Amino acid sequence: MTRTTIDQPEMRIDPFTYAHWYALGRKEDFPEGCALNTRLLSHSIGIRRDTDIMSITGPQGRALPIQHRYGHVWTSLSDSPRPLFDIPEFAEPGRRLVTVGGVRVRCSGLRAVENFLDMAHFPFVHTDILGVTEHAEVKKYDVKMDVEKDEIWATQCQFFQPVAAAASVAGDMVHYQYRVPHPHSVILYKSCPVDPDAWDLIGLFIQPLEEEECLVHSFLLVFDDNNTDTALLHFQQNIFLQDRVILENQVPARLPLDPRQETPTRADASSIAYRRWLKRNGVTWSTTRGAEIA
Amino acid sequence: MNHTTKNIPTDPKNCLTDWVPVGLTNHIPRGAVVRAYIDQFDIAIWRGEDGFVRAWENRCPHRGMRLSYGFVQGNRLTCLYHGWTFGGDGICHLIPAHPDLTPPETIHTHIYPTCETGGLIWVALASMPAPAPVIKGAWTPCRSLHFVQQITLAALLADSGLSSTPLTEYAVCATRKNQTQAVLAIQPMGKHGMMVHCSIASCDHEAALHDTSRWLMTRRAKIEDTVPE
Ligand code: FES
Ligand SMILES: [Fe+2]
Repeated sequence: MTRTTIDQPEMRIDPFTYAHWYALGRKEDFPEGCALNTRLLSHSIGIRRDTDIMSITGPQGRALPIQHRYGHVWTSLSDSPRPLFDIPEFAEPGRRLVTVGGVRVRCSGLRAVENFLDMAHFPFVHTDILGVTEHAEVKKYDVKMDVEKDEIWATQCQFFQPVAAAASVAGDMVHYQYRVPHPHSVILYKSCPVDPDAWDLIGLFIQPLEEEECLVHSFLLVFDDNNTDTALLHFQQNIFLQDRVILENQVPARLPLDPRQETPTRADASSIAYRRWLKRNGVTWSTTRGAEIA
Repeated sequence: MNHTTKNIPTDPKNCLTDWVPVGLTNHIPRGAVVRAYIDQFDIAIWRGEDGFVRAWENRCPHRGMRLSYGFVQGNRLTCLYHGWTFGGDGICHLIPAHPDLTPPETIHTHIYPTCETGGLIWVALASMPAPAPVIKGAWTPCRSLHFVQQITLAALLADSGLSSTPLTEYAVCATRKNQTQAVLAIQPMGKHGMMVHCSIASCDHEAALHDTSRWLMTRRAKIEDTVPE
């Protein structure tokens, strides 16, 4: 080991984490004429917007790739990033996109993904909104790997919710599917209160700032016509602020990948699959494994 | 050169062998849970309806949530995140996501022994602690005060004109000029500074509580070179 690891922190980022695209915010978060700095994977990056053209610079002034998708601006530290995952529902008609804007959380972005995958906390953290303590049971659900796309799917998930979404009036069993196509992004497909055959989407695109700090960009892509964007936004923000109390108080702040460090149960099947998938892909960044290796 | 982030206190036994005061007895009423530091170790301390105080590593064995955010019901503590419920002995009795499951006894929190004496709550982090302290007499909790810097008992009492007898590594019995007797105890909290806990002999009057409390604040002001509250 030479000192280069200190001078070039990207050396400490595992290749899988390094190779992804990351959302930095919505285009409207970067008004015309703005030049601001943010962080990505412990690197300072600059974002400029002159008229309609945006540019992003990374370490040593290197120009970074940029693309606009899913209501957000994306970049990568890598010169040859893996393709950004596809969300076909964005191309389908009928749904409405609401973006929430970044919320800073002092935790590993991986912990935030895992929290989003977890139904068992609904009755305790989102009491009387996404769950009630009398119906805390997590019924068995399926978790599978899509080997070809290298992503995780949790399906056949169901949970009793008193107010599943801004559009629901009474409690109901709500059906879910979860998809993890990216170490720092996760999408929830939720049975739609206005049309039971359709799925509403809610997702997180997490911008990992540091190993123990992230900016969570979230969106809703829903059929709901009854609620204003503001009502949907408030619903989502309220839920997320409840999660933030949890995320900032998990010990350790980084995600443990060693199964012996924490105690999962069957309800944690998706989290177990997620941790295994990260481990198999050699992820160390933002995990306790990374802390051991560093 | 290599820096290791030590997030989980695995074996604190080499750090502190003696009992450390973590608060006045009335700081934690029945049904309450608080967070305390002993050096860098993060501890959840709670009192059940049975009146007993428990001290646990502040980390749920399930997904690491700080247990000090949990809530006490009867003689059990429930974690805020997924409602896992632990008995006073630290063993998990209920996993709400699986209501029909009897959790295996291997699922438990990391518990530390506690005792109450001298108007104070004490915790031992060591797996083989010294015998629990016994401070004779009746003592009334008076005041806990935060100090920015960690100092020794000797430094706390230097030039104070008090006569003192050591009780434990962290506590002395001090007699003030006005003859008020006080237990003065320090709780080291690493980078968080320290707490000084003080209780006075129960026979002293109400006025002695205020007076001793003011004395302690003046003492802190002198040590930290600030104006007293
Ligand atoms: S983290 Fe405590 S119950 Fe899940
Ligand atoms: Fe949540």
